[in-house]
Amino acid sequence: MRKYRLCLILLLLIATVFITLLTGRYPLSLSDLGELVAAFFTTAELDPARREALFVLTHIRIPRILAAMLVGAGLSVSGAAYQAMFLNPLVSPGILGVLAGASFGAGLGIVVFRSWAATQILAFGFGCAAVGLSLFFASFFRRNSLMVLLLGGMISGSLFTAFTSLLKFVADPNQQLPELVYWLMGSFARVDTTILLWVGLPMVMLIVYLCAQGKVTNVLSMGDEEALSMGICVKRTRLSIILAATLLSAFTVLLTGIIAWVGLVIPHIMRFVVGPNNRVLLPASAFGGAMFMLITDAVVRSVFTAELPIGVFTSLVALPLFVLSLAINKGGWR
Amino acid sequence: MIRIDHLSFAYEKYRPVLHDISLCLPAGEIVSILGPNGCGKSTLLKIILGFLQVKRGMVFLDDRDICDLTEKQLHKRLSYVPQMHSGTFNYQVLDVVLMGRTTESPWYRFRSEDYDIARAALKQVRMEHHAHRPYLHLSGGERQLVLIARSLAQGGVFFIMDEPVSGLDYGNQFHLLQTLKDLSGQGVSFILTTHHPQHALYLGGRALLLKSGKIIADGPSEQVVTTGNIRDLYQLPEGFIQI
Repeated sequence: MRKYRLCLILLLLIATVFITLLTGRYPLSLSDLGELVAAFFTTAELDPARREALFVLTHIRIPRILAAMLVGAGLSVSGAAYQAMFLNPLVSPGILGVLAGASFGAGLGIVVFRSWAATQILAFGFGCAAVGLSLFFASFFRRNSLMVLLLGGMISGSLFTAFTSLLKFVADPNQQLPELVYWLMGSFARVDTTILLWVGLPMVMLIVYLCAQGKVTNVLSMGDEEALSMGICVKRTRLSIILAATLLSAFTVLLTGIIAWVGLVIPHIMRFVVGPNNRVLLPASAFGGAMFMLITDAVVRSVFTAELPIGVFTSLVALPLFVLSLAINKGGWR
Repeated sequence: MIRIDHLSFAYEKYRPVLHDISLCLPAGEIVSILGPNGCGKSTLLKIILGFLQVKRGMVFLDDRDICDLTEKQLHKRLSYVPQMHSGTFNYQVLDVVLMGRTTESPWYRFRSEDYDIARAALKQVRMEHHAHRPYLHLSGGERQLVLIARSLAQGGVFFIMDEPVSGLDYGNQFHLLQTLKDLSGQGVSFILTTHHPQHALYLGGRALLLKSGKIIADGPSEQVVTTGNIRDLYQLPEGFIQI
Protein backbone atom coordinates (compact mmCIF):
# COMPACT_ATOMS: atom_id res chain seq x y z
CA MET A 1 0.00 0.00 0.00
CA ARG A 2 2.74 2.40 1.01
CA LYS A 3 4.75 1.56 -2.09
CA TYR A 4 1.85 2.74 -4.23
CA ARG A 5 1.79 5.99 -2.32
CA LEU A 6 5.43 6.56 -3.24
CA CYS A 7 4.63 5.93 -6.92
CA LEU A 8 1.67 8.28 -6.64
CA ILE A 9 3.88 11.04 -5.25
CA LEU A 10 6.35 10.50 -8.10
CA LEU A 11 3.53 10.75 -10.66
CA LEU A 12 2.29 13.93 -9.01
CA LEU A 13 5.82 15.33 -9.17
CA ILE A 14 6.09 14.59 -12.89
CA ALA A 15 2.71 16.22 -13.49
CA THR A 16 3.84 19.26 -11.50
CA VAL A 17 6.98 19.56 -13.62
CA PHE A 18 4.84 19.70 -16.79
CA ILE A 19 2.44 22.23 -15.34
CA THR A 20 5.23 24.48 -14.12
CA LEU A 21 6.89 24.26 -17.54
CA LEU A 22 3.77 25.85 -19.00
CA THR A 23 3.10 28.51 -16.39
CA GLY A 24 4.80 31.83 -15.80
CA ARG A 25 5.02 35.23 -17.46
CA TYR A 26 5.03 33.50 -20.85
CA PRO A 27 2.19 31.00 -20.55
CA LEU A 28 2.45 28.11 -22.99
CA SER A 29 -0.03 25.45 -24.01
CA LEU A 30 0.79 21.78 -24.17
CA SER A 31 0.86 21.84 -27.98
CA ASP A 32 3.22 24.84 -27.90
CA LEU A 33 5.51 22.86 -25.63
CA GLY A 34 5.50 19.86 -27.99
CA GLU A 35 6.27 22.12 -30.95
CA LEU A 36 9.12 23.83 -29.11
CA VAL A 37 10.64 20.54 -27.99
CA ALA A 38 10.44 19.21 -31.53
CA ALA A 39 12.03 22.43 -32.84
CA PHE A 40 14.78 22.20 -30.24
CA PHE A 41 15.81 18.77 -31.45
CA THR A 42 15.34 19.23 -35.21
CA THR A 43 16.62 22.83 -35.38
CA ALA A 44 13.65 23.69 -37.57
CA GLU A 45 13.04 27.37 -38.41
CA LEU A 46 10.85 29.23 -35.94
CA ASP A 47 9.09 32.57 -36.12
CA PRO A 48 10.52 35.25 -33.78
CA ALA A 49 7.79 34.89 -31.14
CA ARG A 50 8.40 31.17 -31.00
CA ARG A 51 12.12 31.68 -30.83
CA GLU A 52 11.64 33.95 -27.86
CA ALA A 53 9.46 31.38 -26.13
CA LEU A 54 12.08 28.70 -26.75
CA PHE A 55 14.73 30.97 -25.27
CA VAL A 56 12.62 31.56 -22.18
CA LEU A 57 12.05 27.84 -21.86
CA THR A 58 15.64 26.68 -22.19
CA HIS A 59 17.48 29.57 -20.56
CA ILE A 60 15.15 30.60 -17.78
CA ARG A 61 12.34 28.21 -17.07
CA ILE A 62 14.09 24.84 -17.30
CA PRO A 63 17.15 25.84 -15.23
CA ARG A 64 14.84 27.35 -12.68
CA ILE A 65 12.67 24.24 -12.50
CA LEU A 66 15.73 22.02 -12.16
CA ALA A 67 17.13 24.25 -9.43
CA ALA A 68 13.82 24.32 -7.57
CA MET A 69 13.59 20.53 -7.71
CA LEU A 70 17.17 20.01 -6.57
CA VAL A 71 16.90 22.50 -3.73
CA GLY A 72 13.52 21.22 -2.52
CA ALA A 73 14.53 17.57 -2.75
CA GLY A 74 17.95 18.22 -1.24
CA LEU A 75 16.69 20.17 1.76
CA SER A 76 13.84 17.75 2.46
CA VAL A 77 15.81 14.54 2.18
CA SER A 78 18.65 15.91 4.28
CA GLY A 79 16.10 17.14 6.83
CA ALA A 80 14.53 13.67 7.03
CA ALA A 81 17.97 12.07 7.38
CA TYR A 82 19.01 14.55 10.08
CA GLN A 83 15.80 13.91 12.02
CA ALA A 84 16.49 10.18 12.07
CA MET A 85 20.18 10.63 12.88
CA PHE A 86 19.42 12.81 15.89
CA LEU A 87 16.39 10.77 17.03
CA ASN A 88 14.46 14.00 17.02
CA PRO A 89 11.67 14.97 14.64
CA LEU A 90 12.17 18.67 15.34
CA VAL A 91 15.65 18.85 13.83
CA SER A 92 16.19 20.71 10.56
CA PRO A 93 19.18 20.74 8.17
CA GLY A 94 20.58 23.85 9.82
CA ILE A 95 21.07 22.07 13.15
CA LEU A 96 24.84 21.69 12.84
CA GLY A 97 25.36 25.25 11.72
CA VAL A 98 25.58 24.73 7.95
CA LEU A 99 23.16 27.55 7.14
CA ALA A 100 24.68 29.96 9.69
CA GLY A 101 28.14 29.25 8.33
CA ALA A 102 26.97 29.71 4.75
CA SER A 103 25.34 33.04 5.64
CA PHE A 104 28.60 34.25 7.12
CA GLY A 105 30.55 33.06 4.07
CA ALA A 106 28.17 34.89 1.77
CA GLY A 107 28.43 38.01 3.92
CA LEU A 108 32.19 37.84 3.70
CA GLY A 109 32.00 37.52 -0.08
CA ILE A 110 29.62 40.47 -0.43
CA VAL A 111 31.16 42.84 2.11
CA VAL A 112 34.87 42.08 2.00
CA PHE A 113 35.57 40.60 -1.43
CA ARG A 114 32.70 42.25 -3.31
CA SER A 115 32.60 39.49 -5.82
CA TRP A 116 29.79 37.21 -6.82
CA ALA A 117 32.00 34.16 -7.35
CA ALA A 118 33.68 34.64 -3.98
CA THR A 119 30.24 34.86 -2.36
CA GLN A 120 29.19 31.49 -3.72
CA ILE A 121 32.46 29.74 -2.93
CA LEU A 122 32.76 31.23 0.56
CA ALA A 123 29.13 30.38 1.36
CA PHE A 124 29.74 26.77 0.47
CA GLY A 125 33.10 26.65 2.24
CA PHE A 126 31.94 28.25 5.46
CA GLY A 127 28.78 26.12 5.52
CA CYS A 128 30.98 23.02 5.58
CA ALA A 129 33.44 24.68 7.99
CA ALA A 130 30.66 25.43 10.50
CA VAL A 131 29.65 21.76 10.55
CA GLY A 132 33.32 20.81 10.89
CA LEU A 133 33.51 23.12 13.88
CA SER A 134 30.53 21.51 15.59
CA LEU A 135 31.99 18.04 14.95
CA PHE A 136 35.26 19.34 16.39
CA PHE A 137 33.50 20.56 19.55
CA ALA A 138 31.75 17.22 19.87
CA SER A 139 34.98 15.25 19.51
CA PHE A 140 36.18 16.50 22.90
CA PHE A 141 33.53 14.47 24.66
CA ARG A 142 33.07 10.75 24.36
CA ARG A 143 29.86 10.00 26.15
CA ASN A 144 26.40 10.75 24.82
CA SER A 145 27.88 11.96 21.58
CA LEU A 146 24.53 12.89 19.99
CA MET A 147 23.63 15.44 22.65
CA VAL A 148 27.14 16.86 22.52
CA LEU A 149 26.92 17.09 18.74
CA LEU A 150 23.68 19.09 19.03
CA LEU A 151 25.37 21.41 21.53
CA GLY A 152 28.36 21.73 19.19
CA GLY A 153 25.93 22.69 16.41
CA MET A 154 24.33 25.32 18.63
CA ILE A 155 27.71 26.80 19.52
CA SER A 156 28.98 26.89 15.97
CA GLY A 157 25.63 28.18 14.63
CA SER A 158 25.47 31.01 17.16
CA LEU A 159 29.10 31.90 16.55
CA PHE A 160 28.56 32.31 12.82
CA THR A 161 25.27 34.14 13.34
CA ALA A 162 27.14 36.62 15.52
CA PHE A 163 29.82 37.03 12.85
CA THR A 164 27.11 37.62 10.23
CA SER A 165 25.54 40.34 12.40
CA LEU A 166 28.95 41.95 12.71
CA LEU A 167 29.30 41.93 8.92
CA LYS A 168 25.84 43.50 8.55
CA PHE A 169 26.94 46.20 10.95
CA VAL A 170 30.07 47.11 9.02
CA ALA A 171 28.53 46.69 5.54
CA ASP A 172 27.92 49.73 3.35
CA PRO A 173 24.21 50.41 4.03
CA ASN A 174 23.44 51.61 0.51
CA GLN A 175 24.69 48.72 -1.51
CA GLN A 176 26.19 45.84 0.41
CA LEU A 177 23.66 45.60 3.21
CA PRO A 178 20.58 45.19 0.98
CA GLU A 179 22.47 42.71 -1.16
CA LEU A 180 23.35 40.64 1.90
CA VAL A 181 19.82 40.83 3.27
CA TYR A 182 18.36 39.68 -0.07
CA TRP A 183 20.88 36.88 -0.22
CA LEU A 184 19.78 35.70 3.20
CA MET A 185 16.16 35.56 2.07
CA GLY A 186 16.95 33.10 -0.69
CA SER A 187 15.97 33.51 -4.31
CA PHE A 188 15.82 31.58 -7.56
CA ALA A 189 16.64 34.70 -9.55
CA ARG A 190 20.35 34.10 -9.14
CA VAL A 191 20.25 30.56 -10.46
CA ASP A 192 22.58 30.37 -13.40
CA THR A 193 23.22 27.53 -15.76
CA THR A 194 26.94 27.23 -15.07
CA ILE A 195 26.51 26.69 -11.35
CA LEU A 196 23.61 24.38 -12.02
CA LEU A 197 25.81 22.28 -14.28
CA TRP A 198 28.56 22.17 -11.65
CA VAL A 199 26.47 21.28 -8.63
CA GLY A 200 23.62 19.40 -10.32
CA LEU A 201 25.33 16.06 -10.64
CA PRO A 202 26.85 15.93 -7.13
CA MET A 203 23.48 16.94 -5.70
CA VAL A 204 21.64 14.22 -7.57
CA MET A 205 24.24 11.72 -6.40
CA LEU A 206 23.90 12.81 -2.76
CA ILE A 207 20.10 12.69 -2.95
CA VAL A 208 20.21 9.18 -4.39
CA TYR A 209 22.78 8.13 -1.78
CA LEU A 210 20.61 9.39 1.09
CA CYS A 211 17.45 7.87 -0.36
CA ALA A 212 19.19 4.49 -0.48
CA GLN A 213 20.17 4.60 3.22
CA GLY A 214 16.65 3.88 4.49
CA LYS A 215 17.34 0.59 6.23
CA VAL A 216 20.44 1.76 8.06
CA THR A 217 18.74 5.05 8.90
CA ASN A 218 15.88 3.13 10.53
CA VAL A 219 18.31 1.20 12.71
CA LEU A 220 20.32 4.29 13.64
CA SER A 221 17.13 6.10 14.63
CA MET A 222 16.73 3.59 17.49
CA GLY A 223 19.83 4.92 19.27
CA ASP A 224 23.53 4.12 19.33
CA GLU A 225 23.55 1.04 21.53
CA GLU A 226 20.68 -0.70 19.79
CA ALA A 227 22.14 0.02 16.38
CA LEU A 228 25.52 -1.27 17.52
CA SER A 229 23.88 -4.44 18.84
CA MET A 230 22.40 -5.01 15.40
CA GLY A 231 25.85 -5.11 13.88
CA ILE A 232 25.96 -1.61 12.40
CA CYS A 233 29.23 0.30 12.55
CA VAL A 234 27.45 3.21 14.23
CA LYS A 235 30.09 5.94 14.27
CA ARG A 236 31.17 5.63 10.66
CA THR A 237 27.67 5.18 9.26
CA ARG A 238 26.14 8.03 11.25
CA LEU A 239 28.99 10.35 10.32
CA SER A 240 28.79 9.54 6.62
CA ILE A 241 25.02 10.15 6.53
CA ILE A 242 25.42 13.43 8.46
CA LEU A 243 28.20 14.54 6.12
CA ALA A 244 26.17 13.69 3.01
CA ALA A 245 23.17 15.63 4.36
CA THR A 246 25.41 18.57 5.25
CA LEU A 247 27.07 18.72 1.83
CA LEU A 248 23.66 18.57 0.23
CA SER A 249 22.37 21.51 2.28
CA ALA A 250 25.54 23.47 1.50
CA PHE A 251 24.92 22.88 -2.22
CA THR A 252 21.36 24.16 -1.93
CA VAL A 253 22.75 27.35 -0.38
CA LEU A 254 25.07 27.69 -3.35
CA LEU A 255 22.10 27.62 -5.71
CA THR A 256 19.54 29.78 -3.93
CA GLY A 257 20.78 31.13 -0.61
CA ILE A 258 19.02 30.39 2.63
CA ILE A 259 15.62 28.70 2.41
CA ALA A 260 14.22 27.92 5.81
CA TRP A 261 11.57 25.49 7.07
CA VAL A 262 11.38 23.22 4.01
CA GLY A 263 13.82 20.72 5.53
CA LEU A 264 11.78 20.48 8.71
CA VAL A 265 8.23 20.61 7.41
CA ILE A 266 8.28 18.38 4.33
CA PRO A 267 9.58 15.29 6.19
CA HIS A 268 6.80 15.84 8.74
CA ILE A 269 4.10 16.00 6.11
CA MET A 270 5.57 13.00 4.32
CA ARG A 271 5.73 11.01 7.55
CA PHE A 272 2.02 11.66 7.78
CA VAL A 273 1.43 10.54 4.19
CA VAL A 274 3.69 7.48 3.86
CA GLY A 275 4.52 6.57 7.47
CA PRO A 276 7.76 6.78 9.42
CA ASN A 277 9.67 3.96 7.72
CA ASN A 278 12.75 5.70 6.29
CA ARG A 279 13.00 3.31 3.36
CA VAL A 280 9.90 5.00 1.98
CA LEU A 281 10.12 8.30 3.85
CA LEU A 282 13.49 9.40 2.46
CA PRO A 283 12.55 9.11 -1.24
CA ALA A 284 9.06 10.43 -0.48
CA SER A 285 10.62 13.50 1.17
CA ALA A 286 12.83 14.06 -1.85
CA PHE A 287 9.86 13.91 -4.26
CA GLY A 288 7.61 15.89 -1.94
CA GLY A 289 10.23 18.58 -1.33
CA ALA A 290 10.84 18.97 -5.05
CA MET A 291 7.11 19.26 -5.66
CA PHE A 292 6.60 21.76 -2.86
CA MET A 293 9.39 23.99 -4.11
CA LEU A 294 8.17 23.81 -7.73
CA ILE A 295 4.64 24.79 -6.79
CA THR A 296 5.71 27.61 -4.49
CA ASP A 297 8.08 29.00 -7.09
CA ALA A 298 5.52 28.70 -9.88
CA VAL A 299 2.93 30.55 -7.84
CA VAL A 300 5.39 33.27 -6.84
CA ARG A 301 6.64 33.90 -10.37
CA SER A 302 3.24 33.89 -12.05
CA VAL A 303 1.33 35.91 -9.45
CA PHE A 304 3.85 38.65 -8.78
CA THR A 305 5.57 40.69 -11.45
CA ALA A 306 8.60 41.50 -9.33
CA GLU A 307 11.13 38.84 -8.38
CA LEU A 308 10.28 38.06 -4.78
CA PRO A 309 12.51 36.19 -2.35
CA ILE A 310 11.44 32.54 -2.35
CA GLY A 311 12.73 31.92 1.18
CA VAL A 312 10.03 34.16 2.60
CA PHE A 313 7.28 32.41 0.67
CA THR A 314 8.38 28.89 1.54
CA SER A 315 8.13 29.85 5.21
CA LEU A 316 4.72 31.46 4.68
CA VAL A 317 3.40 28.36 2.92
CA ALA A 318 5.25 25.72 4.92
CA LEU A 319 4.27 26.93 8.37
CA PRO A 320 0.49 26.59 7.94
CA LEU A 321 1.07 23.18 6.36
CA PHE A 322 3.18 22.23 9.37
CA VAL A 323 0.47 23.30 11.80
CA LEU A 324 -2.12 21.45 9.72
CA SER A 325 -0.10 18.23 9.67
CA LEU A 326 0.38 18.43 13.44
CA ALA A 327 -3.34 19.01 13.92
CA ILE A 328 -4.33 16.09 11.68
CA ASN A 329 -1.75 13.92 13.42
CA LYS A 330 -3.62 14.54 16.68
CA GLY A 331 -1.05 16.95 18.00
CA GLY A 332 1.91 14.62 17.71
CA TRP A 333 4.65 13.77 15.24
CA ARG A 334 4.10 10.05 15.54
CA MET B 1 30.60 -19.90 24.51
CA ILE B 2 31.45 -16.61 26.18
CA ARG B 3 34.57 -16.64 28.36
CA ILE B 4 35.65 -13.74 30.56
CA ASP B 5 39.20 -13.71 31.92
CA HIS B 6 40.29 -11.52 34.84
CA LEU B 7 38.13 -8.62 33.79
CA SER B 8 38.31 -5.34 35.71
CA PHE B 9 36.58 -2.17 34.66
CA ALA B 10 36.23 1.41 35.85
CA TYR B 11 34.39 4.38 34.31
CA GLU B 12 36.56 6.79 36.32
CA LYS B 13 40.03 6.19 37.70
CA TYR B 14 40.19 4.67 41.22
CA ARG B 15 36.47 3.88 41.14
CA PRO B 16 36.39 0.32 39.89
CA VAL B 17 33.01 -1.11 38.96
CA LEU B 18 34.13 -4.67 38.26
CA HIS B 19 37.01 -6.48 40.01
CA ASP B 20 38.85 -9.37 38.45
CA ILE B 21 35.87 -11.28 37.10
CA SER B 22 36.36 -14.65 35.44
CA LEU B 23 33.38 -16.46 34.01
CA CYS B 24 32.40 -19.05 31.45
CA LEU B 25 28.97 -18.89 29.86
CA PRO B 26 28.31 -21.88 27.60
CA ALA B 27 25.58 -21.71 24.95
CA GLY B 28 22.11 -23.00 25.71
CA GLU B 29 21.54 -21.95 29.30
CA ILE B 30 19.67 -19.18 31.09
CA VAL B 31 21.90 -17.11 33.34
CA SER B 32 20.27 -14.68 35.77
CA ILE B 33 22.52 -12.04 37.27
CA LEU B 34 21.34 -10.65 40.61
CA GLY B 35 22.80 -7.84 42.66
CA PRO B 36 22.07 -4.47 44.24
CA ASN B 37 21.92 -1.26 42.18
CA GLY B 38 25.36 -0.12 41.11
CA CYS B 39 27.01 -3.49 41.61
CA GLY B 40 28.11 -3.65 37.97
CA LYS B 41 25.41 -5.87 36.42
CA SER B 42 24.65 -3.60 33.49
CA THR B 43 28.34 -2.77 33.02
CA LEU B 44 29.14 -6.47 32.72
CA LEU B 45 26.45 -6.87 30.04
CA LYS B 46 27.69 -3.81 28.16
CA ILE B 47 31.23 -5.17 28.15
CA ILE B 48 30.08 -8.52 26.78
CA LEU B 49 28.17 -6.65 24.08
CA GLY B 50 31.28 -4.66 23.15
CA PHE B 51 29.70 -1.28 24.02
CA LEU B 52 32.53 -0.46 26.43
CA GLN B 53 36.24 -0.62 25.78
CA VAL B 54 37.98 -3.16 28.03
CA LYS B 55 41.39 -2.16 29.36
CA ARG B 56 42.14 -4.94 31.87
CA GLY B 57 41.16 -8.51 31.19
CA MET B 58 39.76 -10.23 28.12
CA VAL B 59 36.39 -11.31 26.79
CA PHE B 60 36.24 -14.19 24.34
CA LEU B 61 33.38 -15.27 22.13
CA ASP B 62 33.96 -18.81 20.90
CA ASP B 63 37.66 -18.45 21.75
CA ARG B 64 38.12 -15.23 19.80
CA ASP B 65 38.83 -11.96 21.56
CA ILE B 66 35.77 -9.72 21.03
CA CYS B 67 38.09 -6.76 20.36
CA ASP B 68 39.26 -8.53 17.20
CA LEU B 69 35.75 -9.10 15.88
CA THR B 70 33.92 -6.61 13.71
CA GLU B 71 30.53 -5.31 14.88
CA LYS B 72 28.89 -7.53 12.33
CA GLN B 73 30.72 -10.70 13.37
CA LEU B 74 30.13 -10.07 17.08
CA HIS B 75 26.46 -9.28 16.80
CA LYS B 76 25.70 -12.14 14.52
CA ARG B 77 26.14 -14.29 17.64
CA LEU B 78 25.21 -11.84 20.38
CA SER B 79 22.07 -9.83 20.40
CA TYR B 80 20.83 -7.25 22.79
CA VAL B 81 17.26 -6.84 23.96
CA PRO B 82 17.16 -3.36 25.45
CA GLN B 83 15.25 -2.43 28.56
CA MET B 84 11.73 -0.98 28.16
CA HIS B 85 12.27 1.81 25.73
CA SER B 86 10.01 4.12 23.89
CA GLY B 87 11.75 5.10 20.65
CA THR B 88 11.10 8.28 18.71
CA PHE B 89 9.48 7.21 15.45
CA ASN B 90 6.42 5.05 15.33
CA TYR B 91 7.53 2.24 13.02
CA GLN B 92 5.37 -0.74 12.20
CA VAL B 93 6.05 -3.82 14.31
CA LEU B 94 7.19 -5.79 11.27
CA ASP B 95 9.62 -3.01 10.32
CA VAL B 96 11.08 -3.07 13.83
CA VAL B 97 11.64 -6.82 13.58
CA LEU B 98 13.15 -6.44 10.08
CA MET B 99 15.78 -4.09 11.53
CA GLY B 100 17.44 -7.22 12.88
CA ARG B 101 18.02 -8.31 9.26
CA THR B 102 19.76 -5.11 8.18
CA THR B 103 23.36 -6.34 8.13
CA GLU B 104 22.32 -9.57 6.45
CA SER B 105 20.73 -7.88 3.46
CA PRO B 106 22.74 -4.84 2.49
CA TRP B 107 20.66 -3.78 -0.51
CA TYR B 108 17.93 -1.19 -0.60
CA ARG B 109 15.15 -3.72 -0.20
CA PHE B 110 14.75 -6.70 2.08
CA ARG B 111 14.57 -10.06 0.34
CA SER B 112 11.43 -12.12 0.67
CA GLU B 113 13.29 -14.57 2.91
CA ASP B 114 14.03 -11.71 5.31
CA TYR B 115 10.29 -11.11 5.55
CA ASP B 116 9.75 -14.82 6.14
CA ILE B 117 12.36 -14.87 8.92
CA ALA B 118 10.83 -11.77 10.55
CA ARG B 119 7.32 -13.23 10.45
CA ALA B 120 8.56 -16.55 11.81
CA ALA B 121 10.30 -14.70 14.67
CA LEU B 122 7.08 -12.84 15.49
CA LYS B 123 5.26 -16.15 15.48
CA GLN B 124 7.76 -17.63 17.95
CA VAL B 125 6.81 -14.97 20.50
CA ARG B 126 3.11 -15.23 19.52
CA MET B 127 2.95 -11.69 18.18
CA GLU B 128 2.22 -12.50 14.53
CA HIS B 129 -1.19 -10.81 14.68
CA HIS B 130 0.40 -7.51 15.62
CA ALA B 131 2.77 -7.36 12.61
CA HIS B 132 1.18 -4.27 11.10
CA ARG B 133 0.41 -2.35 14.26
CA PRO B 134 2.40 0.79 15.17
CA TYR B 135 5.15 -0.21 17.59
CA LEU B 136 4.68 2.70 20.00
CA HIS B 137 1.00 1.83 20.47
CA LEU B 138 1.92 -1.54 21.98
CA SER B 139 2.03 -2.15 25.73
CA GLY B 140 5.36 -2.55 27.51
CA GLY B 141 5.13 -6.32 27.57
CA GLU B 142 4.26 -6.52 23.87
CA ARG B 143 7.20 -4.26 23.01
CA GLN B 144 9.57 -6.54 24.90
CA LEU B 145 8.24 -9.49 22.90
CA VAL B 146 8.73 -7.58 19.64
CA LEU B 147 12.32 -6.74 20.60
CA ILE B 148 12.92 -10.42 21.42
CA ALA B 149 11.51 -11.27 17.99
CA ARG B 150 13.95 -8.78 16.46
CA SER B 151 16.83 -10.55 18.20
CA LEU B 152 15.50 -13.89 16.97
CA ALA B 153 15.38 -12.52 13.44
CA GLN B 154 18.96 -11.36 13.87
CA GLY B 155 19.81 -15.03 14.39
CA GLY B 156 21.86 -14.62 17.56
CA VAL B 157 22.82 -17.45 19.88
CA PHE B 158 23.23 -15.36 23.03
CA PHE B 159 20.47 -12.97 24.03
CA ILE B 160 21.55 -10.32 26.46
CA MET B 161 18.76 -8.61 28.38
CA ASP B 162 19.08 -5.86 30.95
CA GLU B 163 16.19 -6.14 33.41
CA PRO B 164 13.71 -7.49 30.86
CA VAL B 165 10.73 -7.45 33.23
CA SER B 166 11.14 -3.94 34.62
CA GLY B 167 8.01 -1.91 34.07
CA LEU B 168 5.80 -4.91 33.29
CA ASP B 169 2.78 -5.81 35.41
CA TYR B 170 2.82 -8.94 37.57
CA GLY B 171 1.11 -11.17 35.03
CA ASN B 172 3.14 -9.95 32.08
CA GLN B 173 6.38 -10.51 33.98
CA PHE B 174 5.66 -14.23 34.19
CA HIS B 175 4.32 -14.36 30.66
CA LEU B 176 7.63 -12.92 29.46
CA LEU B 177 9.69 -15.30 31.63
CA GLN B 178 7.67 -18.23 30.31
CA THR B 179 8.45 -17.11 26.75
CA LEU B 180 12.15 -17.00 27.62
CA LYS B 181 11.93 -20.52 29.08
CA ASP B 182 10.17 -21.82 25.97
CA LEU B 183 12.75 -20.21 23.69
CA SER B 184 15.66 -21.56 25.71
CA GLY B 185 14.23 -25.02 25.10
CA GLN B 186 14.76 -24.23 21.39
CA GLY B 187 18.50 -23.62 21.85
CA VAL B 188 18.67 -19.88 22.60
CA SER B 189 20.71 -18.81 25.60
CA PHE B 190 19.77 -15.83 27.74
CA ILE B 191 22.00 -13.72 29.93
CA LEU B 192 19.81 -11.37 31.90
CA THR B 193 19.84 -9.20 34.98
CA THR B 194 16.95 -9.13 37.39
CA HIS B 195 15.97 -7.65 40.73
CA HIS B 196 13.63 -10.51 41.64
CA PRO B 197 15.11 -13.64 43.22
CA GLN B 198 11.82 -15.44 42.47
CA HIS B 199 12.35 -14.83 38.75
CA ALA B 200 15.75 -16.49 38.84
CA LEU B 201 14.16 -19.48 40.55
CA TYR B 202 11.26 -19.52 38.10
CA LEU B 203 13.63 -19.49 35.13
CA GLY B 204 15.84 -22.19 36.62
CA GLY B 205 19.20 -22.45 34.93
CA ARG B 206 22.11 -20.68 36.50
CA ALA B 207 22.32 -17.69 38.82
CA LEU B 208 25.18 -15.29 39.48
CA LEU B 209 25.23 -13.03 42.51
CA LEU B 210 27.24 -9.87 41.97
CA LYS B 211 28.15 -7.54 44.81
CA SER B 212 30.41 -4.47 44.53
CA GLY B 213 31.87 -5.73 41.29
CA LYS B 214 32.70 -9.24 42.53
CA ILE B 215 30.95 -12.56 41.99
CA ILE B 216 29.96 -13.87 45.41
CA ALA B 217 28.03 -16.92 44.28
CA ASP B 218 27.64 -18.83 41.03
CA GLY B 219 25.77 -22.04 40.37
CA PRO B 220 22.36 -23.60 39.65
CA SER B 221 19.61 -21.19 40.65
CA GLU B 222 17.99 -23.40 43.29
CA GLN B 223 21.34 -23.74 45.09
CA VAL B 224 22.46 -20.12 44.78
CA VAL B 225 19.22 -18.22 45.36
CA THR B 226 18.74 -19.04 49.02
CA THR B 227 17.39 -16.93 51.84
CA GLY B 228 20.85 -16.60 53.37
CA ASN B 229 22.57 -15.59 50.13
CA ILE B 230 19.94 -13.04 49.19
CA ARG B 231 19.96 -11.50 52.66
CA ASP B 232 23.71 -11.24 52.37
CA LEU B 233 23.55 -9.76 48.89
CA TYR B 234 21.13 -6.97 49.72
CA GLN B 235 22.13 -6.63 53.41
CA LEU B 236 18.64 -7.26 54.70
CA PRO B 237 17.78 -7.84 58.37
CA GLU B 238 17.18 -11.38 59.55
CA GLY B 239 13.66 -12.71 59.02
CA PHE B 240 12.90 -10.03 56.42
CA ILE B 241 12.47 -12.42 53.51
CA GLN B 242 11.83 -16.08 53.07
CA ILE B 243 12.55 -17.74 49.75
